[in-house]
Amino acid sequence: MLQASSVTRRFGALTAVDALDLEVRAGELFCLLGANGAGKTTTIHLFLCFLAPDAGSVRVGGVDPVEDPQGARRQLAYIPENVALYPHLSGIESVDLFCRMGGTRLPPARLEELLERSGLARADARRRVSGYSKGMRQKVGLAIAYAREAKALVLDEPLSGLDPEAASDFCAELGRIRDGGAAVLMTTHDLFRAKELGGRIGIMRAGRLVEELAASDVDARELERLYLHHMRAAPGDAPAPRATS
Amino acid sequence: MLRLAIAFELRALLRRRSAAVALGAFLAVGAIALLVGKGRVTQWREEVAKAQRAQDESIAEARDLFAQGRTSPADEPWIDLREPSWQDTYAGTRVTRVAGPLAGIAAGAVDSAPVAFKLDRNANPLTTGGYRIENPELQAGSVDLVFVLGILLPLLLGVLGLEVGARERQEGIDRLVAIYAGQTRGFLVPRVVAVAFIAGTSATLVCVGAGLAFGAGPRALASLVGAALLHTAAWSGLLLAVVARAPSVRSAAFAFGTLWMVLAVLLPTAAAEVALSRVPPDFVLAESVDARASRRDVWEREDAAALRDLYALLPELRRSPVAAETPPLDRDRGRAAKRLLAAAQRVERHRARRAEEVRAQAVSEQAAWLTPVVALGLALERLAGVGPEAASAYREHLVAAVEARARWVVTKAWTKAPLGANDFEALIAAAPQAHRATREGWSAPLLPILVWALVAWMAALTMLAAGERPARTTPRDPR
Amino acid sequence: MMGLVARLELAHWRRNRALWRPLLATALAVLAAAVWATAEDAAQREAHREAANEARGQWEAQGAKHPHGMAHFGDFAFRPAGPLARLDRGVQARLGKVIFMEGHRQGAPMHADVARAGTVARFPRPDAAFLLHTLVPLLLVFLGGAGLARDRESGRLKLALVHGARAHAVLGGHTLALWGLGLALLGLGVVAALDTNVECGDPAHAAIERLPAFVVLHALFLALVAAGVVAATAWLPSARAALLTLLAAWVLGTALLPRAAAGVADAWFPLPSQDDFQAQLRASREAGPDGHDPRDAFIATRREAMLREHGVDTVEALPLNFDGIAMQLDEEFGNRVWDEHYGALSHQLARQVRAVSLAALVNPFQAIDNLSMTLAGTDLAHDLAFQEQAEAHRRELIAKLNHEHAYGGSRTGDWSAEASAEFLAALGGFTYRVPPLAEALRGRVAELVALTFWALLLLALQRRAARRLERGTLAC
Repeated sequence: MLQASSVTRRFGALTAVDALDLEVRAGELFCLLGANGAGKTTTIHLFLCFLAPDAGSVRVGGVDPVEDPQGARRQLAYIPENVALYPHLSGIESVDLFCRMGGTRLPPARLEELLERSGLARADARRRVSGYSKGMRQKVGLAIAYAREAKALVLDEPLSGLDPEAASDFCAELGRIRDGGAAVLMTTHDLFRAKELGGRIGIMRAGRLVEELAASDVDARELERLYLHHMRAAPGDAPAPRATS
Repeated sequence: MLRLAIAFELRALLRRRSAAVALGAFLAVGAIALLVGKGRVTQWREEVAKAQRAQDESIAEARDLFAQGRTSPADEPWIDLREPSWQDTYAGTRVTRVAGPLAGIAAGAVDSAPVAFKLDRNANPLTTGGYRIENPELQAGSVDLVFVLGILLPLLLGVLGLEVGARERQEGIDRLVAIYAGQTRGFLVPRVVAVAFIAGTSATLVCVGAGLAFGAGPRALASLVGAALLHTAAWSGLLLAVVARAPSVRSAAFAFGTLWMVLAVLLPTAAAEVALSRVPPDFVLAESVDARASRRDVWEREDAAALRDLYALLPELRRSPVAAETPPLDRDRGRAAKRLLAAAQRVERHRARRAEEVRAQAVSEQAAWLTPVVALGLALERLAGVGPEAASAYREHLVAAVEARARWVVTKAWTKAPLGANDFEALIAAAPQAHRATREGWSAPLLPILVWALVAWMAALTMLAAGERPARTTPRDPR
Repeated sequence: MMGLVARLELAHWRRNRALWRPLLATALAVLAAAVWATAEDAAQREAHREAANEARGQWEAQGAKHPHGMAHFGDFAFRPAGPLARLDRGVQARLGKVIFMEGHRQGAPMHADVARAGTVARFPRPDAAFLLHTLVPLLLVFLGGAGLARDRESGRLKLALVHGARAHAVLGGHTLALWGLGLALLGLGVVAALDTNVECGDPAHAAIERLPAFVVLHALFLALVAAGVVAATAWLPSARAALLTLLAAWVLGTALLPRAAAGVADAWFPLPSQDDFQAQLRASREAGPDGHDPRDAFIATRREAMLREHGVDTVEALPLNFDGIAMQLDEEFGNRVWDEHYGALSHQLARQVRAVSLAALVNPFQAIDNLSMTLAGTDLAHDLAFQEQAEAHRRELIAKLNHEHAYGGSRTGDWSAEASAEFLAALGGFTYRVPPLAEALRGRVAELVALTFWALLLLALQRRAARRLERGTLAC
C-alpha cells in the first residue's frame, strides 16, 4: 500500500533520507523508530506529498504522489503529532468539516458515532475544541481518520504527550484500524508501544533504515538494546547481533 | 467547497468576537457616512431652494412694477426697469447646481464651487467659494462612503481574512487540510472568496442604504455597488496573495498592514503631496494682483480704446444706430462695455485656470494606477458629481453665463429703444439652465482597480499553486 | 537592568535583518517628508515675499489717485506659512491664501491650495508630523508587541523573574528601547528639517522659539505610545490579542475617532451656509448708512449736524469733503455689523474646535495632532489670527483713505481730487505677526492635559502589570 524504493531526500548538504526501501502492506502496522533527526518525519512527508524525493520513488496505493498528489492523498488519512483544529468549531463540527473537505457528507448521528468510537464523550463532542486537551484532539483526529475510511493511515508521533491511559486507548484503536485492513505507518519514540502494537518495526538512523524486524521477534528489552545499539553506533558499524528469543 | 467555506466563515464570524466587532463597526461607520451624506445633500438642496425663492421674489417684484406700468419702486426712483442693467438686476437669475442622486457619497471631497450662483453682468465666479463655511480642522476628517469603501473595507477584509491560511500554517492545520481536501488551496481560496463575499455583502448593504437614503435610481445604484464590489475583489486578491505564503497570523498581519498602509495611506498622501506641490506657489497672482491690475486697466481705459475692444468682441454693434452717435459711450453704455471687457478677461483667466486644474487632475488619474484607493475615490466622486472636476465644470458653466449676460446687457444698451416687460420675460426665459454634473468618465478609474484585482488574484493563485507542489529542494530541514 | 533590557532589545533589532526593512523604510519616509516639506516651505516663503512685493509695487505704481478709488483698488494680505510648517503643515492647504482688502466690505480668504490640486487633495499631506503621528506608532506597535511577546513565549521572562530581575525593569527596558527608537526618528525628522532649512537659506527665527516645545511634546507622545504598547502586551493574555488590540486602538485613534469627533462637532455646532451668512450681513448692513447713497437717512442726519456745526447751508460750502465722512460712517457701521456676525461665526468655529479638543481627552493621537499643528502655526487659530490682523489692517487703511478723502483739501462732490502718490505710498502694507506661543497654546489646554494624563495612565498600568507579573497574578 505504502512503498518507498531507494528514496533519497536531501536538504542542502544534509541527506535526510538515504536510499530508503520501505513497504507497508494493507492490514499491516509499521512503526518507525529513531532519534530526533533520523529522517522519520521526512519519510512521512514523502508519503504525504509534502516533499518530493530527490531520487527513487514513492507510491501510495500504486500512485506516485509527485505525479498525482490528490490521487495519492485520496487514499490516505493522517494524524500529526499535534492534531491542530479550528478553535471556534466543536469536535463534531471539526469531523464534519474535514469529511466535507474530502467530499463526504455524513449525518450527525454517524459523526457522533465516530467520535464515540474514538473515545470522545458525547458531551465533549459538542464543546468547542479550543477547550480540548491534547488527548481529546488526538481522538478527534482519529475520528476524522475513521470517517475517511482510507486505505492507509499515516501517523507522525501521535503518542507524544498523551497520558498512559489515552495512549493505551489510542493504540487499541490503531490496532482495530489495522485489523480493518488499512495499512498503518507510524513514527514514534515509544519503544514499548511499538512492541505492543505488533506488526513490523523499523529503526532509522541518519536517513537509513538500519533495522527492520517483526514485533513478535523481540521482547521489549531486546528492542531497547537494539535501538540503543543503533543510536550509539558510528556510521558503517556492523549490524547489531540479534539475540534469539 | 465554496458553500462549505461560506458556511465556515459565517460560523467564524458569529463565534469570533473580533470579526463580529469589526463587521459591526464597519456597518455603523457606513451608517454614519450615510447620515453625513444625507445632511450634506439636504443642506445643498435647501440652498438651491432658497436661491430659487430669492430669484422668484425678484422677478415677481419686477413683474408687479410692469403690471402697474411703473419703471421703479416708489422709494427708489433712480431705478429704471427700461434699462438693460436694471432688467439684469431684477431678473435675479440664480444658476443652480443640481445635487445628483449620489451626491452624498463623497461628502469629504474638495469642492470649492457654490451650489447656487447669483448671475448678473458683474458677477465673478472665479472668486466665489463653496456654499458651506467650513472649519478646516473638521473638514480634514470627513466620514463619507469614499472613506468607508476605500479605507475601511480593506481593513474589514483584513480582520475577517488574515487568519485564513496563516493560522493553519502557524498551528499546523494546513497539513490536515492538504490531506483531507487534496490540496490546501482547495479550501483556502474558497475561504478568501467567502470572506470577500461577507465583506462585499456588507459593502453592498451600505451602498444600497446610500441608494435608498439619497433616492438613487437603479443604474446609479448598480454603478456604486459595482465599484464597491470591484474594490472588494482587488483587496481580497491582495489578501489572498498575503495569506498564500504567510507562515503566521502575525506575519500576515504585518504584511497586510504594510500593504494597507502603503496603498491606503502613504501612496494617496504621497499623491496629494505631488498634486499640491504642482500647484504654483504664487499666491494665485493671476487671479489676485494681476486680475486687479487688468480690472483697473479696463475701467481706466479711454473710451476710444474701450470701444475698439468692444467692437472686436461684438462686431455687430458697429452697425447699430448708437455706433454713429458722438460720443457713442454715455455713462451707462460705458459701464456696460467695460463690464463685458472685464468678463472677457475673466473668461481668459478661467481658461488658464481650467488648464491648470486639468494638469492637477492628471496627477490623480495617474495615482489611480498606483493604488485602488485613489481610483475608487476618483470613480465615486465622478459618480457623485462632486469634487474638483465637478466644481470646475460648474465654474466653467458660470463663467460662460456671466459673459453671455454681459453681452446681452451691452447689446441691449446699444439698441436705443427702451426695454419693456417682453424683454424682461425673454431675459428670464433665456436664463441658463440649472447645471447637472455628468457622470462622464466615472467608470474609467475602475480599469486600474480591475487590473489590480486581476494581477492580485493571478499572483496569489500562482503563489498558492507553487506552494502546493511537493518541495523539490527545501532550504530548511523540516525534521 | 532597565538599560540592559533596552540594549538587548536594540541588539535584537540590529541582528534581525527582517526588521531592517520596515525600520529603514520608516526612517527614509520621515527623512524624505522632512526634507521635501522644508524645501516646499522655503519655496512658499519666497513666493510669499514675491507676491507681497508685487502687490506693493502695483499699489505704489498707481501714483496719485482719488482716495476712495484706492479704497476700491484695495490691498492684499497673503497668508504666510506657519513657523514650523516644514514639520507639520496642519490644515494650511485647506485655508484660503489671499484676502482682498477693500472699502465697504470685509474680505474672506480665497484660493486654498486644495481647490487647485485635484481629487487626491482630499488626502492629508505626508509631512514629518503626519508620519510621527501615524507610521511611527504603528512601527512601535509591531516591534514592541513582538519584543515582550518573544520574551514571554520563549520563557525568558519567567527565567529572568526567577533569577531576580524586577518585572518593572524588564517592562521599562522594552519601553525605553521603543521610546529610543521613536526619539531617533523624531530627531531625524527635526534635524533633516533644520538642515534643509539652512540649505534653503531661510533663517525662520519664529521657528526656533517653537521647536523645543514641538520636540518635547512629540517625545511625550512617543513615550506614551511606547508605554501603551508594552502595557498592552503585558496585560493581555497573548501576543495575538495584544497586537489586535493595539492595531484596533491605532485605527480608532488615527482614523475613526478624529472623524467621529469632527462629525459630532459639526452636528452640535453647525455653521451657517455661506449664503445665509452673507444674507444676514446684507440685512444688517441695510439697516445702517450707505456711503454711496446720497438719500440715505443716516448720512442725512449726520450731514445736517455737520452743516449746523459749521454754520453753512450746503455741503459744498463745508470746508471739508463730506463724502469722505459718509464713507467712514458707512465703514464704521459695516465694521460693527461684521464684528457682530463674524464674532458669532468665529465663536461657533471656536466651539467646534473645543469640542474636538475635548474628544482628544480620550484620543492621544488627536491630542498630538492638534498640539502639533498649533505649535507649527498651521491650525485654524493661527488662520483666524491672520484674518483678524488682515481685517485690522484693512480698517486702518480705509480709515486713512477716508480721512484723506474728507480732509485732504477737496470739497464735497469732488470725485476728481487725488491723494498724492507720497501719501498713498506711505500707507504701509500688511505684515503678519505670529501670535506668541503661550497665546497659541491657550486653546490647547485639553490636549496638553490629555497627553500628560495618557502618558501617566499608561506608565501606571505598566507598573501595575509589572507588580502583578512579580506576584504571579498575571501570566508570564
